Amino acid sequence: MFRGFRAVTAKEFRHLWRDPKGLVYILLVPFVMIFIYGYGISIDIRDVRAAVIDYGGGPVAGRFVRAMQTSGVFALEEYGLRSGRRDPLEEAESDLRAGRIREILIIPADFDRNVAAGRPAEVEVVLDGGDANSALLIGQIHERIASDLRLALAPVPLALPLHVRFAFNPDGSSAPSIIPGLFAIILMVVSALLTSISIAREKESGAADLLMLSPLSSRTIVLGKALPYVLVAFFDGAVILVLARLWFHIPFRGDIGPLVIYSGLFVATGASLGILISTIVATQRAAAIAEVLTTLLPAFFLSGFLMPVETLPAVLRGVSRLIPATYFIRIVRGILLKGSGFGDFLGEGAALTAMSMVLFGLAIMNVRRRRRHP
Amino acid sequence: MRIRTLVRKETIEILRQKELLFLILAVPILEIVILGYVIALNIRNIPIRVIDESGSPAAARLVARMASSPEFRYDGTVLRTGDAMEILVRGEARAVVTFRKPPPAPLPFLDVPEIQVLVDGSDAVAAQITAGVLSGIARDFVAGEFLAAEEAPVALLAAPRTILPPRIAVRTLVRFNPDLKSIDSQGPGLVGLLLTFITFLLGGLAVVREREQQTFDTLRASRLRPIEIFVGKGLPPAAAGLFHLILGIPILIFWFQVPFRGSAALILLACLIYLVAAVSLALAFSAVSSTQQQAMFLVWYAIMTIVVLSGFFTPLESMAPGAHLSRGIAAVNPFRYLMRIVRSVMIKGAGPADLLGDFAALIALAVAYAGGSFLVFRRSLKR
Repeated sequence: MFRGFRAVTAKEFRHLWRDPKGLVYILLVPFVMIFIYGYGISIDIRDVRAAVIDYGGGPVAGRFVRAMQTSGVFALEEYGLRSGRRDPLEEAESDLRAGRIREILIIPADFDRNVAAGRPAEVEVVLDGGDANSALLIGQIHERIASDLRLALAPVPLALPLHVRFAFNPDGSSAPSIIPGLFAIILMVVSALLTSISIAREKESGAADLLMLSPLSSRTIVLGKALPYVLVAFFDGAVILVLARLWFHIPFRGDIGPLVIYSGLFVATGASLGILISTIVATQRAAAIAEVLTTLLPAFFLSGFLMPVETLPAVLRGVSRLIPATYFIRIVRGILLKGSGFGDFLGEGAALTAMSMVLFGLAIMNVRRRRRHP
Repeated sequence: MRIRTLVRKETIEILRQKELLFLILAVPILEIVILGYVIALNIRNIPIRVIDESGSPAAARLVARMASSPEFRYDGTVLRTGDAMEILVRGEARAVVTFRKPPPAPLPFLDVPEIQVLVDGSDAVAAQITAGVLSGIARDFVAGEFLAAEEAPVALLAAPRTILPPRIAVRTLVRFNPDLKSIDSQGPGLVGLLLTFITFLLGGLAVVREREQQTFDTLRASRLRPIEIFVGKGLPPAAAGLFHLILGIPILIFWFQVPFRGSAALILLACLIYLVAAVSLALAFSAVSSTQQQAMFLVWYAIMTIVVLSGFFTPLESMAPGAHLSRGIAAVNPFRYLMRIVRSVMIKGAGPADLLGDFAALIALAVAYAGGSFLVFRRSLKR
């Protein structure tokens, strides 16, 4: 059994070696991805171009505008009467439509008078709802500026008795939470996508039939073909971790041991999924599309990589429990950022183990059936 | 004419394979259903815990306010003491709100405990939104307590009116999408996704598949000129993209109720220009790969990068100023311009005059990618 296994693995490795370009892609692309995603995914609001139309021009209105300036979020442009525009509001609305600005701030003429008299005083903010996510966050920033100003203007200085902190990631920056997710995605791409295409290729070229006729057991064949990709996945994973530590300064609070064990489980699940898909479809093209649909798309979007699983509708939340990456991303974030240990993820580990066993069992069944009734 | 033969051959190769056809039909439906729901940045059901060391009635009122907001899921238990960090490490909640006895207040009539919020930062996007919403609720609440104090006669006796803070408020109006429905603002992105996925998957394999099966040499030996092979290889994936658009738009309209306003012709024009850019990129990936495995590896990351750096999930302006690589890719990302055009037309009812810049960028990118891709393709023909 072991010799056969080694032979199949060596053959698959030779496929990889023979074509160094492929290896370069597999090793280099994840490296680049870390930089693109580590910096590219962020919801810090910046550079909001806003038109300011101040009809009153009083001191409190001025303080509101200055508070916006110093927040570092806005790039303000005066659209008021002094700017020489005939109808500032109309012009601002048309710029908003054309996407040249993202916000209009209108301060009514009686704003300062109302503040002085203790009457409710409102500024009006007009946002571009074309990007609902930004609009939501920009709206929150205005609320904060207004309430800070209220407290600052109170005759007795008041401090809002509110302290907000981020645990495990003090600046709330996105890299520490994106990179564990990317770690999972990259392991999944290598172990599932590459394995399934590789097996489908043998089917396409007819080489699979030769293997089927050999005395090797079905298990030996598929495990032998999957192993090189599991090893490549581990290599990619190690590169990512080193980069994450040295370049992005992501804390490594937990131990490496549990991370390796759970990564092994996850990669085994990915490889099983890849093998299963390659036993169902006939061509590489179908394998690739099926793999993207059933494995990669869900791993990217339903696993909590970008948005927390809790916010999904109930049905998709159910689906997310069937996705290996959901469990693994939780594990990696826990071990790297929270310093969790092996025992904290027994449930997740059990889920991954069960999934990989079921998927692998189904795959072997498929292969055996094909051998008996080719 | 000769191109037609090549296109026919490519089409037959797709149509005769039942499982491939089935997958191609399944792609747009899954794409829309999965992505139609996950793109909202408005959080829901985020589990929170409360530790109340103050025992103040105001704390209880604030907790009730948090519990009733749909953003959070709160099981109602109030811990008297506890370690917030411990709760987050165990993963029992994503945020812990702790109330402490306040230091001696400048306004003795105002009973507001000190509020400490600890948010699980290991999921940064969720953490920032959670922190924003929670502190918004807390601010509103404290402001409300001030006003209530102002109106209560007892409080008036204790504190003269003048020490109360001014009533400054923000009235927010949202144009084009007043309810901030995220599907409205992301619908245009979904239109782009329908064009992107299948075009890249099929286009990415178009050249390398033949090379692997060694039928590419036959094509090279034929009388087809390189440009004819290039166009003939590119048309079927682009057609598949259009087909997905036609399949997907009814789902967007009838299921997600995305409002389709503005000129359909303008949207279609943008989609066609985008398809030129997308197919060209896909063919270039195909031409530089020597196996289908390599091509798919590149194509998958290309799709993800195009989608993530388009402003589809997170605003592009949010990227860190030093993120030159990400910003550079975003600047030459055709998906970004397509999405801006479709968004402006569909949601804002923008006309051609508003979109000149975006159209110019999209056309320039399509021309550049088509040209560059053809050069790469021609070189790979000579190999």
